[in-house]
Amino acid sequence: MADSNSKAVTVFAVFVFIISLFSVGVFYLSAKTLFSTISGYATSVGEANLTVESVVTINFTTARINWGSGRVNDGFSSAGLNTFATNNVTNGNWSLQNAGGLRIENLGNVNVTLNLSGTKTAASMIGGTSPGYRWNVTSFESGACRNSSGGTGALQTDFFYVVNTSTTLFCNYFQFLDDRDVVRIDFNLTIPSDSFTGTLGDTITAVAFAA
Amino acid sequence: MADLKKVLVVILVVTLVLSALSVVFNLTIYNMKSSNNKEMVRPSSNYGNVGFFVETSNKGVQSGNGG
Repeated sequence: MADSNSKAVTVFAVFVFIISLFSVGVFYLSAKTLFSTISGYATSVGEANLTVESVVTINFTTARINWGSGRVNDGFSSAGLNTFATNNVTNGNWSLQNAGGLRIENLGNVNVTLNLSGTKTAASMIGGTSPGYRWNVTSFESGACRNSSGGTGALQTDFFYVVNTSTTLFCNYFQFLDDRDVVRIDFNLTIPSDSFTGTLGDTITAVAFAA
Repeated sequence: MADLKKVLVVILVVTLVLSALSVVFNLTIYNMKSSNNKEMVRPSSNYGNVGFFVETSNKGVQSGNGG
């Protein structure tokens, strides 16, 4: 009985010793961190130190799209406007003044998330019967827009989606490298013949956070 | 001899508790230091516009019947 007690105490002592060793190791790490930041800590080791700040900056390099003045051609229920280089107006007499869509460039030095929102719906911007207001996000420079695993799947890109007035994530990783840092937003509008008249339009907001 | 063992066990238990507390305390401090090192990067936002003008003559054009 006494012998088994002695064995138990010995095993316990070894266990405590191991925990103590671990504690000393953790204390060493903590103390090392502390001493490196306390003023008055003298060392003979020279050190060159610099910090490169992370900067998140995105910019619309093409910030305005305008189709000018026009109307739906007689005899048609609606006209179609888009931002492509050709065939950008159908059944209307508008004239696209800057083809190629809005373009956003990542000017910072980190990958960011790209989030977009509009302020109006098709009904509130265009009005009339069955208006359409859609956008299409694509990588203008190949690989600019990536998903959370670095691929291109499951992104809301390469298809015209209804413009959302709540902020929508389009790119998990909008890259910053110079050869892959531009994203393009194209638009496809349907203007019914009974739409609102006058100056119509919307503001697109892009927000980027460090990825 | 039995009393000596009891004293030894008490000392070991106290040592164990103090070591465990030390580990928890130091890890907490170390993690706080690490989290302070995380850089706060400001988000960026920018705006673009789409716009066009619809002439008044658009109003009242009937659909698909040639006017």
